Amino acid sequence: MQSLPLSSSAFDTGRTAEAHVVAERAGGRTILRRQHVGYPLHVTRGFYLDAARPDVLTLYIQSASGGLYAGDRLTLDVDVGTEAALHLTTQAATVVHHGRGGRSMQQLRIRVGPRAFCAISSDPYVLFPGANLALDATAVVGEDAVLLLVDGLAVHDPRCSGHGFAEYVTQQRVMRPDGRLLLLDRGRLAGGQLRNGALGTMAAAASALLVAPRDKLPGILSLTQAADECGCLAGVSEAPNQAGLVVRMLAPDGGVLTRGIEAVFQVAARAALGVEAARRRK
Amino acid sequence: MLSTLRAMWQADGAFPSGSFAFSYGLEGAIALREGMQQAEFAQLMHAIIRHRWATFDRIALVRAFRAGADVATIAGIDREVEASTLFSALRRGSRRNGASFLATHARLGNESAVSLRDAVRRGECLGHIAVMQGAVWSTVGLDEELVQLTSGYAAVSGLITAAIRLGAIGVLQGQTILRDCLPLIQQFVVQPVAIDVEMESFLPFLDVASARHEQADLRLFAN
Repeated sequence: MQSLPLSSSAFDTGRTAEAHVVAERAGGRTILRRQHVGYPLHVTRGFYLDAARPDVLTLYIQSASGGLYAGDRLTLDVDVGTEAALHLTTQAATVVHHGRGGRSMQQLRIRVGPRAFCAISSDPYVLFPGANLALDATAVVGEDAVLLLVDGLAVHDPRCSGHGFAEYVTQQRVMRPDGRLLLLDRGRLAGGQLRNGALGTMAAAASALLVAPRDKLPGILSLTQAADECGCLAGVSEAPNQAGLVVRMLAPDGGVLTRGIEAVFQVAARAALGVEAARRRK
Repeated sequence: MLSTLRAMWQADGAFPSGSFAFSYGLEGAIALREGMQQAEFAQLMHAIIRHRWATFDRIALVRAFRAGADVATIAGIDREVEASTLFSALRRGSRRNGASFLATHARLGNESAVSLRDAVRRGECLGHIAVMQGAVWSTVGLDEELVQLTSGYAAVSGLITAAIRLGAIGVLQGQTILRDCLPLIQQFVVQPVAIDVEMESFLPFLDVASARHEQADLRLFAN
């Protein structure tokens, strides 16, 4: 007869946390109107880093617990009001630990109001052996608003165990306020398939969706070159339904990919905001 | 037996469906990885089957096959394929192939193809190849399994032909790779497609290759 484990010795089933951030324009700049952020998420105070565009609010979001663990279910809700300008980024890459047969989930819900600017450019998720991560982002973007949404993955095996991550699943859905689907990027990759052609010979990859009216889009060549100059191999194309541009980037490691993501943000922000964005210190 | 013969007819490279110009971004991939060895090319073919054909094209195909003559449902699948095909060269190539496929079947007298061609002209449908194949093949006597086998074989055979024309592999190398892809196609086809399954694709390398290829000055294939 097998005895049941004591409740105190059972595996942690993961944490459920929600964060809600509301940015609005008031008094000539973007302010953090409301925030509700549950552990392990933490949002820093707001920074105004761009002298030429002092209205742009920059927030750093971080995990206070050292990354994503098995069974974590984190939800981030971002609301950017009319004519507000928000850049939400991370201070470092997010480590995703072994899934222990479960999955870590990160959900992102974004609303970008009329003539607003919203950039969410996270550093890559670093997938440790056994990591099982699902990202699910849904954005509703006004016709004349700008959204840059970037996520990516890199792999790391700190103990050289020879084991890959379990699975990486991503879904990004962008719609108009009337419910019209603009673009849908859905895919999955098992760790064992990493070197089997999906990423070529690379070990890190990122996607960037840039939804914007035509006059606020950068050139395809400038985006490609900016990422390439960082050591990435980038491909840029017009998105479906005249939504804007899509970018895929491949890199040999997470460090190079992080620099590529920063470069894409710089080029996109320059086109959308009309000024050179200051470097985000990390 | 007749349905098997019809499947062979549709999968045959001689059938004028426009597929010869569709390469899933393969030309760009070959340009990016100059001197690609046979093993690496075979790996890429498997990745395309696993991460694009099986999980995306095949799902669109089966959903359209099940929709039969319901043009409104087919149009919905077509719009989803459009929104989910992020790279413009692949989108355009898929629509162009779909148009050629419909044109051929319409000229052969297939009423479903005529109806779908008209729906594309009205802007009601977009005409993506996998969706059009599923819808039209539902009317030529193929069952759901044969439809998938035909689609899988035609996709791989088209890619091999493209690679040979590009000089990336030899004819015999191509046949070796094609032969080795067949069990993988079968492996996916024997898995039933659930009613609520979503289309998904994850091939960043080919996306990058396709986008860079689109910017290139000289190319042989449509994508």
